[in-house]
Amino acid sequence: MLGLDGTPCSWLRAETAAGRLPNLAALFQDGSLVPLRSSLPAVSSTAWTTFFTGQDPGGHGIFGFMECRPDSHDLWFPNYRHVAAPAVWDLAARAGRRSVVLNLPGTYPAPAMHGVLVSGFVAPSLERSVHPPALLPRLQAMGYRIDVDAFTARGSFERLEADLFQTLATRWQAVRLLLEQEHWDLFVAVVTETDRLYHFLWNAMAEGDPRAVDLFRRFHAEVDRFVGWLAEALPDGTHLIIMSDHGFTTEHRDVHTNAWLRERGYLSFDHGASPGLGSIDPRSTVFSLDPGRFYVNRAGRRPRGGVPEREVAAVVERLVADLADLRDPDTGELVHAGVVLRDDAYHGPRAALGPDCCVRPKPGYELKGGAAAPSVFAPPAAGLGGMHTSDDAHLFVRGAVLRSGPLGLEDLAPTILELLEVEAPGLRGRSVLAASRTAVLR
Amino acid sequence: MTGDAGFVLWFTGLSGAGKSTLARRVGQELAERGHRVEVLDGDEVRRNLCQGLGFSRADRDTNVARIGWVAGRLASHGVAVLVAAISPYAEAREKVRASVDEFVEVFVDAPLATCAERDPKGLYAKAMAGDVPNFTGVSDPYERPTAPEVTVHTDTETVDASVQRVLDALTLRGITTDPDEVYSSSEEQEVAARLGALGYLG
Repeated sequence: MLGLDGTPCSWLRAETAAGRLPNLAALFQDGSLVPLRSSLPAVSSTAWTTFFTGQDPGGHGIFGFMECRPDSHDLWFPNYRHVAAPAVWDLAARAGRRSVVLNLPGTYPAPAMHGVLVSGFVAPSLERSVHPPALLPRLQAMGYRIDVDAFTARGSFERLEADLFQTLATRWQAVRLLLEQEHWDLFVAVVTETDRLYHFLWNAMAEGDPRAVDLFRRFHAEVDRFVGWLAEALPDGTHLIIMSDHGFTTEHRDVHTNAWLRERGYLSFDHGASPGLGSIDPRSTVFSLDPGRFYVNRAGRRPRGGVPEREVAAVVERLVADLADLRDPDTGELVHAGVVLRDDAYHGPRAALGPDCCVRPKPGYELKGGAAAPSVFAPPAAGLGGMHTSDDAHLFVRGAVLRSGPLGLEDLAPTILELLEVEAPGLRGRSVLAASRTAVLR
Repeated sequence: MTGDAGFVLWFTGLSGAGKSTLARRVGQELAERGHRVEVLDGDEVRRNLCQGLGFSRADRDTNVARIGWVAGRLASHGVAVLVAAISPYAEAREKVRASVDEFVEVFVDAPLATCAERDPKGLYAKAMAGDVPNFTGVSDPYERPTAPEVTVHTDTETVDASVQRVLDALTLRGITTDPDEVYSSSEEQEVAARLGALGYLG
């Protein structure tokens, strides 16, 4: 599996049709490039974990990049050790299959597993990102980079440009090293530089800024060369999946959901305190985490929680009704694509830890959960210009006929296991392969 | 922090809901995390500490109060005390809560029919036949907690899932430490900064 983090299906179709990505275009002739539904929320930690477990967040427990501690309302950051469901490489290992996993977001710290794993975003330390540890010196020697330096890249076109190509180069080098020198049954590699480029320059590219357009084309040409090399380097008969975890689109406005909750009387902070969830007034009934997650401020679960369980349903009902009227003041349009209740979104033993409801993102409106935002609506933050979409990720399975119907990230682990001929009951997703796949797969 | 601070983890629910099973399993996990653990199981307590107490309202309240006092004393000396007792009356449970510094209530919820079907001690059959008076859920009330820190639904969850939820709740409350806690404070700042640079935490 080759992941191109954030690359939209619609954009990929347009670019290949325009002749700009010849290797990808050639590959896509041998199968179907289809849209893939992301997770809810559509952020990489949740999305890729959904991919590699075959469960939705109710099963794997990763609802976002951050959660809220119950004893202080402070934020904390889940990592791989908080993933509550087995990964596809662990399920494959039960049947003796060996895996190599490179740069998959949500896999830090690197677990002991049957094979090789190099963690992806968010990985603050390369030293704890590598299994087995013996691989670390070789990665360090090649100058392997986990990620672009987003601090310096944001706001500096030149730094972003240099960092993108350098990071991709080391990614390619690591893939080559592992592909050629390791025995593997499953190889997973993710390019995350795409997502970084999109976060900073998608708006500019879409608006036709010449520098952004040029960088997009040059960078994706390099990605395309990488894909071409990979397709040739793979042993004959290797099943190839290319996919993303979410799509990307232009962002017009930030929508600060905690500011909205304050306006609507759901949320307040201690008098005189700096706005932050740590100073949430216990009379608050709802708070929000980004993007678009809403939590009832339950009594008992958190010291500053004040809503008794018997009142939760009424709070949610009122919240859902109010969210139906969260509109752009300039255009009158809704700033989200609908509300999803927890029980409808999340299934599994961790579902109760999830938000009481989520809103689906709507192109153009980036949902933000910062507690200190002074107003609901704001322009995109400086240096950023682009947002995730939840229904325009892409999926391609070489040589395969895919089943009809919406396909989601949770369907990939079952697909991989089917291709590996490994049984794996109990997954939320189901294989994307049509019933007659054995007649058409090479 | 792990193993230093005591607390009371109070499992309440109908007979047969799974309180003892969960208390034992959670106790094992906490012991592995370095806590000094004591499980006060309702049946054992009645045979020892609370011999002679019956099942009238007054006796039940006394039973809970005694368990709560012992649990509180142990907790004050750094013990993780797990109590598995029906403790059917909310007022009595709340009095224990008020007397203990760190009190976590786990509502072990299962429908009465499920508990009766399980009937691990054969008591439901006797109670429904009228042979056991003052039986909680049949001839005596059970007052469901209104704001427990954790609710587990043992009719729909596996034991492992329920145990994990209790442990997660304790970890997130800072009562116990996840042995796999990963980030140092500086790394946590690094993570926050990287997320912020991409527009998260906004």
